[in-house]
Amino acid sequence: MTGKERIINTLEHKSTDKLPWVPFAGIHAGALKGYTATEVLQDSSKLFASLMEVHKLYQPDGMPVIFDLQVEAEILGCELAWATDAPPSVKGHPCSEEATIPCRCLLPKETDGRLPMILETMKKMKETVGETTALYGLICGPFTLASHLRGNNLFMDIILNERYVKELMDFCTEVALKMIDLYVGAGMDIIAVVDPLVSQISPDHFTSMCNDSFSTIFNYIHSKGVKSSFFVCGNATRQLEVMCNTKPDSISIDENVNIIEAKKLTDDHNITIGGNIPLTTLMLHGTQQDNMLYVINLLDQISHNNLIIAPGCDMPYAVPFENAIGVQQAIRETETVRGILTNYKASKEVVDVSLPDYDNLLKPFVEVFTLDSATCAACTYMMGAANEMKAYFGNAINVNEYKYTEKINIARCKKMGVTNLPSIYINGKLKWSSLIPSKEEFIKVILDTKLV
Amino acid sequence: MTRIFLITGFLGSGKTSFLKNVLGGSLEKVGVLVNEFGKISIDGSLLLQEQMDLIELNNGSIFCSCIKEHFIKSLKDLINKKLNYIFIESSGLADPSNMAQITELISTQVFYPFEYVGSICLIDGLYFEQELNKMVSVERQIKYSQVVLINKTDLIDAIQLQKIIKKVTMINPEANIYNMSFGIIDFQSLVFNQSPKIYQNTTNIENNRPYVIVMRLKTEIKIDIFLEMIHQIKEHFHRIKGIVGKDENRFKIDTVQQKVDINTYSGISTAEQTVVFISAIGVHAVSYIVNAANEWIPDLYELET
Repeated sequence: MTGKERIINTLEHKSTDKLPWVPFAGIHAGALKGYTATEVLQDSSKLFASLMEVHKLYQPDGMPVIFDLQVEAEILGCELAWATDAPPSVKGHPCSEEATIPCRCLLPKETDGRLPMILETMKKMKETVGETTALYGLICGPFTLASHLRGNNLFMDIILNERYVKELMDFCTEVALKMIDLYVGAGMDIIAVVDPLVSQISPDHFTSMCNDSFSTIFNYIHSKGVKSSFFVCGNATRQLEVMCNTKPDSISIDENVNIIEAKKLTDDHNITIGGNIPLTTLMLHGTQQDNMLYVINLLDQISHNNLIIAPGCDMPYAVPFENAIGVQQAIRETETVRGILTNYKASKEVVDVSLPDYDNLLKPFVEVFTLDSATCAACTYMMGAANEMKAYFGNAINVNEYKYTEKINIARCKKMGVTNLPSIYINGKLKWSSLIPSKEEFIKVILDTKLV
Repeated sequence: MTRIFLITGFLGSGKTSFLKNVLGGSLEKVGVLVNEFGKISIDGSLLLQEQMDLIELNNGSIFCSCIKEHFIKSLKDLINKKLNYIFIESSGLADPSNMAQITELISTQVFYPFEYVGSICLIDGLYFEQELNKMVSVERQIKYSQVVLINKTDLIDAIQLQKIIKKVTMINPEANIYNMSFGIIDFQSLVFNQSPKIYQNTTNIENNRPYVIVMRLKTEIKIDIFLEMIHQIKEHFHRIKGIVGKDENRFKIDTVQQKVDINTYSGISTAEQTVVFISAIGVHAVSYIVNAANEWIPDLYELET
C-alpha cells in the first residue's frame, strides 16, 4: 500500500496496513536545507528542494506543499511582515478603517501574488512524488481570511454588524473556491481549509456566520473529486460538533484539544481526525525519545480507525529533525520503539520563573499567552486585541506577550496554570481563553480591574 | 457603413432565439458579439454559424469596468472588418446606461464609418413584473432602448399584455413597442426613431454581478434524471442553461425562474455536456448543486467557478 492509498483509504474509512503519517512541515522544510522561512515561501526551487528533503527524511504518507495562511491575504492587498523563522504575518488590513468588501476583480488568478511559484511547485511535486504520496493544498479558511482583511474590528462586527460579517464571509468563500480550482488543477489530492480563528468564536456565532461558508467549501471540494480537511488551532473542543456539521472528510486539531475525547465525536460523524502532537513542548523542545513516547502512549489510548498521526499545526522552524523522525518511527515500528523506551522516563528540565506580586500591582497588567503571535493567526489577533488596548490606554496599563516557543514561558504557563493558548490574563486572573474579546468588552474589563 | 444594434433583455427573455432568427434571415456580412456573465458561453455556442464573425466576451458585463476595455477593443475590431451589421447580445443582467458613451468614444478610433442605431430590449411577458421589481438592470434596459419587444405573448392574456405596455411606456415613452412569440419578428420592420445619445453611469460593477457556476458532465446521462435534479434546485437560480448529451443525442436545457424548457439540439456547439448555473443566492448556491448532483448524478460531474 502506498502512502497516498493509506491516506485516501483512511479518509474513506477503509482499512489500511499502517497508520498514516503527515508531517506538517511548512517553514520547517526550509530549515532542513538551511533556507530561511522567507526564502522557502517565495522561491519555487528552494521550496521544492526543501519538500524533497522532508520526503526523504520523514517518509510521509501525505504532506503539504506550502503552509502559509497569508497567500490569499497578500493577493487581496494585505501588507505582510516577513520573518526568517516564521511564516509572514498580516500587518495591514485593507478593510480595517471602513466595513467594505474588496473588489471581486481581486479574486485569485493563477498569475497573482505568489501563486505562480506555488502552482509550479505543486505540479513538480505531483510529477515527482505524487503517485505515492498524498499532496495537501492548504487554503486560508474564510473566517481567518476575513480577519486578515478587516483586522481586529471583525470581532466587534460579529456583535454589532452581523450582516457585514456575512457579506465578507461570502466574499472570502468565493476566494476559497477560486483557490480550490487552482490547487486541484495543480494536482492536489486533499484540500485543507486552515482556519485557526474559528476556535476563537462561540459555536453559536460559528453556526450563524460561518456554517454556510464551510459547508459550501467542503461541498465544492467534494464536487472536484478530491478530499477535504478542516484544520483548526487553539482550544476548539466546543466547536468540534459544529465543525463536523459542515461535513469535511477530516479534521485536524492541535494540542489544545484532547484528541481521545474529540475522536469519539468525530467517529460519531464518521469523520477522520488527525493532528494533536504538541508543537513546542514536545517537537521543538523535547527529545527524540519524548516524541516517541508521546506517540506510543497516544497509539495505546486511541482507536486506530479514522486516524491520521500529525503535528498539531505547522511545525516550528527549528524542530530538531530527529524528533520528527522519532514520531515516524513510533508509528511505523511501534513495537521496536516500545522496546527501546522500556526504561526511558520523559525529560523534565526545571526552569525557574518568578511571577509578579499580582495583588499589589499599581496598574492593570495584561498578559497574553500565545503559541507565537508571529506564526499562529489566532494568537496574532489575540495579541492584536491587547495591542489595541495598549494604544488606547497608553502608560496606564502594561501589556506583555509570552510565547510558548520559549522554555521560560512554558515554565510560566505551568506555574500560572495556563491550560489553553491563546489566553489573556489581567493581574494574574484568566479573562479570555480561546476567545478574542471585542474592543468594547476589553476596555470594560480593564476599567473594572481593581487595583491596590 | 456598419449598422450596430444592441440587444438587451433579462435572463431568459429570448435574446438568443431572437438573434438566431434575425441571423437566419437575409442579412449579409454580419458580426456578432455575445456577452455572458459566466466563464463559458452557451449562447455564443448556439449562435455559431459558418462565415460569421463571432466574438464571445465572458466573465462579466461588457458595461462593467471589469471587461469594458475588452469590449471596446472587440467592437473596434469588428467595425474595422467593414461589416454591414453588428449585433451585440448583452448578458441578461447588463445595465447598458453607458452604451451611447462607449459608441461616442469609439467613433474617433475606427477607420470605417458606423452608426449605433440603437438598443432592442426584449421582455419576458411571463415574468416581467417579478423581474422589474427585483432587478434594477431591467428598468435600465428599457430606459435606454429604442425598440422594446415583448416576447412570449402566447403565454399571457391581453390584460397582462396591456399592463406590461403601460409599465414600459412609463419607463420609456419614446420607445417603439412590438409584441412577438418565440423571438420571431420581421427585423427589417422595426422602427428606431429615437437617437441614442443620452447616457449615465452603469450599475454593473464587479461586486454585484451574480455568481456563476459551471457544471461539466463527465459522461452521458439520462436527460430525465438530469431534469429531476434541475427541478429540485431551480428556485435558487436566475437561470440554468446548457447542452446535455453528445453527438446525435443532445438536449438544450433552459430554465428561467421556475420554467424549464428542454429541446433536442442538433446545431453546431462548442459547449456540449456543459451547464451554466446563474445563482440567485450568491456563492452558497454551490451547496444546492452539489447536494442535488450527489443524489442524482454522483461522481458524474465536476464544478468550476
